[in-house]
This record gives sequence, C-alpha cells and structure tokens, in this order.
Amino acid sequence: MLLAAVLGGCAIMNRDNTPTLNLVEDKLWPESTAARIAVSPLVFPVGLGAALVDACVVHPVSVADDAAEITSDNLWEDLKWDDRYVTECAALPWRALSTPVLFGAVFLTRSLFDIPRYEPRRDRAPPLPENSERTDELETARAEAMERFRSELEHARALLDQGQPDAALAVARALLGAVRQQLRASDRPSFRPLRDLVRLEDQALLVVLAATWKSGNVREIRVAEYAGLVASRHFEQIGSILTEMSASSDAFTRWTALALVTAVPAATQQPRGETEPWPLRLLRKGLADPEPLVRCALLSALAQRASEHPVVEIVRELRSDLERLAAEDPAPLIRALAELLVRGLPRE
Amino acid sequence: MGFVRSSRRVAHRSRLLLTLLACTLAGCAVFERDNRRVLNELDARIQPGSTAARIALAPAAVPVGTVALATDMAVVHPAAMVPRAARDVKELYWKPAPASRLRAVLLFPLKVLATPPTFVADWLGRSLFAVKAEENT
Repeated sequence: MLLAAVLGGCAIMNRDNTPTLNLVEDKLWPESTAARIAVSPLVFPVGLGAALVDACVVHPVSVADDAAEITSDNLWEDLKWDDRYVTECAALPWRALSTPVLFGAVFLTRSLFDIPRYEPRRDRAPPLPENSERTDELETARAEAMERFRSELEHARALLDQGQPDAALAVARALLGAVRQQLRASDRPSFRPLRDLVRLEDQALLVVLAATWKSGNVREIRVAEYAGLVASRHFEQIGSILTEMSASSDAFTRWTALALVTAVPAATQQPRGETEPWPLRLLRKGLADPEPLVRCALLSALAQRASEHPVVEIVRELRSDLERLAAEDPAPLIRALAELLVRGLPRE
Repeated sequence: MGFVRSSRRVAHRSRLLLTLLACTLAGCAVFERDNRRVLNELDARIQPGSTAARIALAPAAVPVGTVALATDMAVVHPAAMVPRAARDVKELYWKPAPASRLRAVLLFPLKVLATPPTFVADWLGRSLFAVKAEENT
C-alpha cells in the first residue's frame, strides 16, 4: 500500500490531476508569508488529505473512461463478422475474459502514472460530410496529391509504351513509395480518397511488375508482392502482363508468370466467357513448355497444394494435358508427377 | 511428510504454470491467420448473411469455433510444422556442401546427435510462435 501510495505520487505530480488540491491551494493558501505561517497547521493536513483524495478517488475516477475506451478499442472494435464469423465467435470467450483484465491493468496504470488522455479511434479523424461544399486545406491537399499521383502513373505507363522500361520502373517505384507513405498517414478506410489511393497503389504495382520484367530484372519479382493482384479487380490487366511474360524466350520469366498464377489458384475459378480464362490458358501452356524445368516446377507447385479445392478443379480442367504428360513426357520425374496429380483426383 | 507434500504441490504448480505458459504461447502462433487452417475453412463455409442469423447461430458457433481454435493450436498447426522443421534441419545440417572427407566424417556424429534436439526446438518454436510463411521464389 505504501509503494502504491509512493507510486501514486507520479500521477499527482501533474496539477491537472489534482483538482481537490488545487481548490485547497486557491481557497486556503494566503498570499502573505505571515498568514501562511499562521494557517499552516490547519492547511497542511487539509492539503495532505486533499492530495490523498485526488490520488485515490478523483484521479482514478477520471481515468476510468479512458480505460474503458482503450479496452473497447483493443478488444471490441473492428470485428470482422462478414468474412470471419466462426473465428470471431471463437474469440468471444477470450475477449470476454480479457476485458476485465485489460481494463484493470490500464485503469491501475493510468491511476498511478501521469499518462496523457486517450483519444478514442472514432474521434481521431473527424469525417468530412459527404456532400459538403466546404473544402478545407486537408481535402485540397489530398485532391492535389491524388492528381499528382495520377499524372505520375500516366507518365510511367507512357514510358513503358515507348519502350523505356528502366525509366518507367524508376517512376513507378517512386510513385508506389509515395502512395504507400500517404496510405500509412491515413487511417480511415471508409474515407473516399483512401479507397482511390488503394486502387492507385494496385495500378502502380502493375506498372512496376511490367517494367521490372521488361527491363530484364525478372529475378527481382517477388511473387508474394503481386499475387494479390491476380485475384483483384485488376484480373484482366495482370492477365495481359503475365500472358506477355509467358511468351518470353527466357525460361525463368515464363516460370515466374506461372508462379503468380499458381500462387492464387482460386483466380482460375473466374466466370467464363466464350474463351478459356487466361490463368487456365497459361497453365495449359506451361504444361507444354519446351523447358523441362518449367514443366517440372509447375507440376510440383500444383502437387504441393493438391488437397485444396481450387487446385483440384484446375487439375480436373487440365486432366487431358496431364494424362498426355504422364504418357509421353521424356523426363521420368515429370511423368511421375503428372500421374500423381491425375491419380489424386477425387472420384466425381 | 510435510516436506514431500509441499514439494509435490510445488511440482504440480510448476507443471500447471508450464502448461498455461505453453497454451498462452501457442496462442501466439494462431494470431496469424495463415496458421488457423480449420478456422479459416469454417469461416469460408459458414457466413451468415444477416445479424439475426449470426445471433441465432452463435450458441453453436462459439463452442464449434473454440474447438476448431484448440484443434488448430494443438493439432493441425503443430502437425503442419513437422515438415517445415524437418526441412529446416535438413537445410542446417544435411544439405550437401563442399567439404573434405575428413571433415564430413568428423562432423557426421555431431550432426546425428544435434538433429533430434534441433528438430524438436525448431518444431516447438514454429508451433508456438507466429513465424511468417516462406515466400515463393
């Protein structure tokens, strides 16, 4: 208790946390020295009592709402019921158990130490009214930044079309860095410029991908960085880039295109039009690649995920190509892998 | 007699603390979405469309989800980490490297001795902590 009382001194060192003591100081502590000496025997115990009341009652009560907000923001905000219903249900008992523990810990810490007031997440970036005619500096600055980003993106695309992939890559990478910096500075996903920024990021990433392989730096392409684009709204755009890559004379470039397709097998489930979806077309072409290592790497990538439903559907679609490989490929390993995939198909 | 009883109590409490610690640490691995295979599968298959449906399903979903989470923590994720740990040990000790015959012969028994504890430590680490999945190349 003594330790807590001593530690409690940390919070009450700040005048803002001692309203009762401030009141005693304002009302009972005179200006003149003689008067102070005279009233000291009375004021000192009263002041001590006021300090104790501030430390043990007033200040803790004042931080209770902060503790509640922090607990709520950390445990009960941003629950993803739409796409993680079962996970959120499983987490509910743990959140319920953690709530009093977190609240208690935060309450105790804020009661003992002088910590600035907490700004709840919902208050951090006040939303601009949707149909507001008033434009403040922030809105203007964001609009100007978006305009600048769009013109940089067009500049990068123009350089790429003109056959200057190195220059296009430099511009696109600089743009990507600037967009991501802007994204990190904005923390309201529902804010309209942020959605536009995310789309701009994707478009810049597409230009970086195309410029990277056209400038001969295909080994710098990290599949994980671009795989998300395959299953996004930019499905057709990345499809045309990967189709170009799959026609390259360099085997590693052709394999990198296939690696991006196999990284997101669900993309092959895109609704069909009159022609075969490009991911399936590329995979079929990959199975007939002149380089045995490419064929082998593709079969291996499919075999590693053979239990996943999208991959089962891919293997079903490519069954005839796999059966031909299993029967006719000159490399024994490729024949074995192809046969493994076909045999692993569940019976319909 | 009292001494024996109190040491048993201490041993029991130590085992309890270790189990609790392991369970807490095991929670770290399942904080990563990729390490919650059973839960992800259930999330993909069970997506109630309305708030009323979510509330109605909740009495079943909470225990099912808890069991799925426990299964991920204690069974699925550790089992999935066995081949990764084996691959790590293979990369560390058994990857062919240019070395003289003498060195290879001298190091062989050390590698044999070190393989099991390294495998166990690697597997435990991968099972308990959220280690990022390796990227494709």
